[in-house]
Amino acid sequence: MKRIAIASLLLAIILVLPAQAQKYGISSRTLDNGLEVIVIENSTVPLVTIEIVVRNGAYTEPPELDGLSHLYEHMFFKANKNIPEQEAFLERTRELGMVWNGTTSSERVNYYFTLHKDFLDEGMEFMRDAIRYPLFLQEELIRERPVVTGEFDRNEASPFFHWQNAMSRLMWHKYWSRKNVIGDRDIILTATEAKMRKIQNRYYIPNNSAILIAGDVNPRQAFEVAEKWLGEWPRGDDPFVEFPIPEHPPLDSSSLVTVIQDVNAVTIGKQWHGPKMLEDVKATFAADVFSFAISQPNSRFQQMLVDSGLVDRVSLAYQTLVYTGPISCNARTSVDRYEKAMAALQNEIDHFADDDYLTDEQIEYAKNQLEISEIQGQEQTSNFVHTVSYWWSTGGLDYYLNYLENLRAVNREDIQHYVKKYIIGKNNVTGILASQEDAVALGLAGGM
Amino acid sequence: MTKSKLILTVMLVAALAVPASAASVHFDVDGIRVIIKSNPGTPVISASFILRGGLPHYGADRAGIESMIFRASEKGSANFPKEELQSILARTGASLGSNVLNDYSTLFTSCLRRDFEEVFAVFADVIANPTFDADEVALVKGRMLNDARQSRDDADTRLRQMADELHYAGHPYSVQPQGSEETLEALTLESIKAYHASEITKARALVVIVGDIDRQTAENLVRAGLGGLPRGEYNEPVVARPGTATVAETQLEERDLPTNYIRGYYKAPSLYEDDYMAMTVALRILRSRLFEEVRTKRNLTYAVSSGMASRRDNYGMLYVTAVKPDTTLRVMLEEVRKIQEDGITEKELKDHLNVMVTRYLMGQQTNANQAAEYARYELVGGGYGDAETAVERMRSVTVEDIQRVCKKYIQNIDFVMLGDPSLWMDPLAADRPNSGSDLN
Repeated sequence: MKRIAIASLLLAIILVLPAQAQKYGISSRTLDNGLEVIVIENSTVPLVTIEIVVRNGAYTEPPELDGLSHLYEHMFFKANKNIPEQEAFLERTRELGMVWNGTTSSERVNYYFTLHKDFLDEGMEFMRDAIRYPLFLQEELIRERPVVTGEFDRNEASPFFHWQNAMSRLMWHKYWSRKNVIGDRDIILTATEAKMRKIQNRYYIPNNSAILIAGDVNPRQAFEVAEKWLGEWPRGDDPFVEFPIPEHPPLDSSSLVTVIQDVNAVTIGKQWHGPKMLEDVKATFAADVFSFAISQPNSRFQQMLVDSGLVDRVSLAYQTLVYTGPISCNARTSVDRYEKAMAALQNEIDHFADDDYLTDEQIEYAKNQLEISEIQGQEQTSNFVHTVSYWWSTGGLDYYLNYLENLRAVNREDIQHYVKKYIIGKNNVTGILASQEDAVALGLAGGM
Repeated sequence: MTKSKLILTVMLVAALAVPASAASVHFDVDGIRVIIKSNPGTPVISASFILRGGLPHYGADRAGIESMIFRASEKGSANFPKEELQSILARTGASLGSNVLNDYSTLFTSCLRRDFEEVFAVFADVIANPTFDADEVALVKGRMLNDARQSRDDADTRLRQMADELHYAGHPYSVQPQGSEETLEALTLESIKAYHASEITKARALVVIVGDIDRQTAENLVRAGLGGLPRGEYNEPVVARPGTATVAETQLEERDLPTNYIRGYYKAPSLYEDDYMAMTVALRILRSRLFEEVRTKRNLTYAVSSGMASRRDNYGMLYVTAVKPDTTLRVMLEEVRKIQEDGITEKELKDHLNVMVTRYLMGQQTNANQAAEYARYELVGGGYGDAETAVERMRSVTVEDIQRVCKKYIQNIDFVMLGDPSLWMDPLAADRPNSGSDLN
């Protein structure tokens, strides 16, 4: 009873504090243990999505832990203190009508359940048990190994996986494991409970996590259940103080890699080291506007490359990350167009900073489109919650809440600064995916 | 019954009680059938223009023609030349795209409500009055040919092609509606112009609009934009094969892969048939059982599944990627046998229905999804109204239905495998009148 009384008092204090954020239906508060509670209101359908996001993922993995964030994510859905085995775990998800999943990426691991709003309390209890009390039974770890290697097998069955991997290894040459989300087979096959506990104790703490509750729920109710089920999760030491993330060293030269696979097209990839989100935040907004502007069919980039018939499609994108986000340009062509396509692509890149590369109208339209795509993304709350968790895990919730205002402020000079600083004349990695026959014809044979 | 179980049961009843929408209506505008669903206050609005018929209408030898027409139409129209069209789309942030399925082809747009009148005028003009510039059509054709070639590079895509080629041999569905290299090569500027003139008609058209819109506005927009389409004639093609297949076949294709990709197809009820919903629930339960037995308990795979398409002549499916295809398939088929012979429990059914209702509601979150679901039921099912009774029909499925449909339909499975043919051990050898397998 005493514990309940204290919890009630804490809850009362929390509820009278001003919300940190009130935008896009988002409210947030931080519990005493450091857990951030983010609520997204949308009553379109009587559902609620409960998501836990943890600042974990490939970026926290030295070589000896390569892939264990991902394995940990698999183990989340297995036995815990209150649910003795995975079969019982799965049965409980069905009883509650849950649609569930988890993902691991470079700078985020998230777990989420969508269920009827009336089961919010049961769903929160279920989440508490899974996140706080996993058992990591050795027998379950051993049984999970072929499942994860099965995921490897499927990836390796794709020609594009080999192509991306070859470029990534060159891009992140010194700290490859910290970008290699799926990990290393041998590390996964020798995983132990002790290694899982190491990850748990280091990263699965409330002050390195957030709980998102999204859908047909009001903030007061959501904050209450968050406090009730996760308020006693004990705080831990900041993992990034004791285990800081090393910065990826810049590329000291450009390189070309050819990947030979049994494919029916020639695919061109070029990658550069892009902005670090927290160091050059302005460039991240310029990057998004630029990528959107040149993806438009009426842009010079598309006209010179796609409308000319030199490539079938081309894109340029920046992935917003704290620890050096890649800028990637991908294009599909064929052996007979390859030489001209490569020359034309390089010519476009060389002109990215020209005053007339984009019209004022194209820049404004790109900003407008980014804003509209955000509105469209918010329509589906059970997906939108993942967008919010991504930004929480990387740049922080404020990055997202201020995103549109910052986009609107981007001007031509910002874009020129971005492309000059990160793309034009900068060292990069080029990857060509082609068949043996095409590679020989192009003088690119002898690749991987 | 314990108190907690009683509470849970009461809550489940509440969870399953989903009100049907009363906001959808259908009407005729100068011979064009229109369905709208008004969702007041939603910022995004979606519109689809759908051509009925699909592959059975235009024939396997013309596969790709409707895809090419829609993709080429997006390059400009009489009233909105390419640059102006692209400028409007860029300014409004509207999306414009197409999707061709076996039984119908869709051109769709999605935009903010404030821009809808302007965007719909463009949308309608590219449907009714496409320019079909020769150079643009040549570029589109080139890209589609490269798409067709590259589609073989992806193991899952190639596997789906193989399954259609085998299961639907001699049927219009044996080729992909996006076209093959052979069918695309045969398409010309003249042939797509002629097809557009004769086949993009009011009789074949269905327009679905979901968002903050009223009937009068929709009528005005459709009449102004699409009223000039020729009336045309349309007779629903007969596609269903009589009865269930009696002979299962196998096709193996060698590819150096780290695992083996396997798909099994069998004839399944169509969306318009009474058994469809029971089969949908049954295959969701089978999918869970496969996940638990094949992945969780026996750890034979990362990816195992069962499911069903929604074609007018439909198929049900088993899918797995496995390094030990023989062992894995036997375990999968044993799970099928258990449902067929032992059935399922009431609790298992109730629990799965909980999950299916959640999935259904998740699919109702966007206007675009709702528009697609209306079209699916209208064109392949028993009418768009069935989209609104899906939950009730799900809830009416019984454990007896599950066992019955599994027995009735999951038989004579055609298997295709991409990988190492030497690892293939026919799991249905005893069912086959001749044991030979094709090796490609």
